[in-house]
Amino acid sequence: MNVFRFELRRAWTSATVWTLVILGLMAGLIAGALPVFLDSRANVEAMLSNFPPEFAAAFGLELDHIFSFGGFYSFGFLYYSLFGAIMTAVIGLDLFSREKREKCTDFLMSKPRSRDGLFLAKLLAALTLILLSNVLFIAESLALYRAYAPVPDAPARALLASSALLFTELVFLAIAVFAAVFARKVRSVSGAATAIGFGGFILSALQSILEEEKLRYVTPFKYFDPSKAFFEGSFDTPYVITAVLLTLGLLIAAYIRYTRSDVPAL
Amino acid sequence: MGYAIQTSKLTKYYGKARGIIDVDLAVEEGELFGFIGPNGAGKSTTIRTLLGLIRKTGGEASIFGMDCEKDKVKILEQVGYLPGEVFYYDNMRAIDLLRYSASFYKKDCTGRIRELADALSLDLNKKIEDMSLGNKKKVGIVQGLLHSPRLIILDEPTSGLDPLMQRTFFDLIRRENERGATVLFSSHILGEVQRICDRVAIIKEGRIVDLKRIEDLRKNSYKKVSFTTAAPVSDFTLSGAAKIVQDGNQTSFLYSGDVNALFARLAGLQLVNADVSEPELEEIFLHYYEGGEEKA
Repeated sequence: MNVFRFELRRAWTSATVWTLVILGLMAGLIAGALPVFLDSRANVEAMLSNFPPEFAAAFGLELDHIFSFGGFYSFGFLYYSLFGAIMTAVIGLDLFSREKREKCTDFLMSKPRSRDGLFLAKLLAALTLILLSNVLFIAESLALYRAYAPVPDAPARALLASSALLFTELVFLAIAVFAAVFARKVRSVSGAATAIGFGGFILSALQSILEEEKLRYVTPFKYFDPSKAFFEGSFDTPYVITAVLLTLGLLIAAYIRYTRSDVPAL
Repeated sequence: MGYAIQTSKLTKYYGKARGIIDVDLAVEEGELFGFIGPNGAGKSTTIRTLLGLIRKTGGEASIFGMDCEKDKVKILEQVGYLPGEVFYYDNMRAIDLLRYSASFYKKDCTGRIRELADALSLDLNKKIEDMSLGNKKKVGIVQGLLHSPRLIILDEPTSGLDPLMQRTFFDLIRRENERGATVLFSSHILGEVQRICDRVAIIKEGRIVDLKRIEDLRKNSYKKVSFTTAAPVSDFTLSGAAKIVQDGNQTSFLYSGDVNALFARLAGLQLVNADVSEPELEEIFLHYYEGGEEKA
């Protein structure tokens, strides 16, 4: 428990800041822009028709659905999940490369704890932060749905759609933990986390432009589609399975490496 | 009495690179045991294998009769470790780090932290990253001793400590030893091993080359001999003499063997001056290494 508490105490500030950014962005977009956006449908459609369709796709605009709460929510979701992915990557990289960065692996690993225990304590601390952040995100999503959806008659679907962030973040947590454990050196947590987040974002934009279904298997931002959740009440099973396998695979590989590898002398 | 540390044919390769080969050690409980060798000889590799930081390639290692890999957690509860270079988490005061360190052990270490900090005159409220190397080292010492371990493992512990602090440090270690703690002290500086240890193992290129009591090492093995002659002696030889250095009228060497043979040989020379003394450990040590390559 002491390692869990220690990690929570050292990581909670950045998790809080990122969570506030995501919550603020969503509140601003939906409370601030959605009503105006819905009112000016004709103007927006006219403006978008001047751009090539790839442009709109790259930024997550799905024209069939955009003029509804679900469509607009899904449009903003690409950005919430980008920030969410960066936040999770920060948490994963920070916790799992802490001793490596600060050159005190010897300190931690010569304490009477098994490496399994250390890995689990760190993972639990990361999951705790991510879960707390998502409880707030889902609560705000539902509150906004109630307040701003023209007909808020499907709260279960809104709940499923907003849970997409949590699931997406879990995939990114696994990527970050894997990267932190296997990297020889982690120079800057925020730099690496931004790279992971934007890497995913670029893949996602590419996939939207090319509309290549196979590419979607390597695009974590597209595993859990909130639009599909809103309008059809489910996620796409093949991608959910991909996400689960990828997450477990990366975490298991990281676990094996963390618990078995030699700690290099300084 | 049982062994605090026992290894048999302990071997570690890093890929193909040699770490240690067939290391046999038996450190008795309550002993102050020295472990000397130059950098790269395998001291740290041995210690890190004992601590479970690295996995052995072959052989056996146990501490207090428990297997170093299988019973690692139980062993580490009774071990205090001070690495050569100390690094800790950023942005932490010494007291926070020490409290975190103490939280791994099932006992209250608060009193002990204060006591050790006082003995070392360490300011616990300072941030560790703002400390000098010496003060960081003190944090490391407190961290290694705060749970009153049964076995203390010191890997090149004195670098960064001024001579006065070294003395305080040695006093601390001696006191822990009197309390019953076993100490494994690794160093490449022989003076300090000589100062504190009962027995010493000498390691060279991954293998233990000798194991001796400090007194025996000094008393029975080698004499340091130097003499000056009226005229240069060309190509001085004597069986039992090693490291013969000749410089003009001066000749010096290390001698092991019958003292009578030594004096009989010297008596045949026109001596101006002669000196026979106990060699420094350092010089004995060099003897083990002559011909061998030292790796940094």
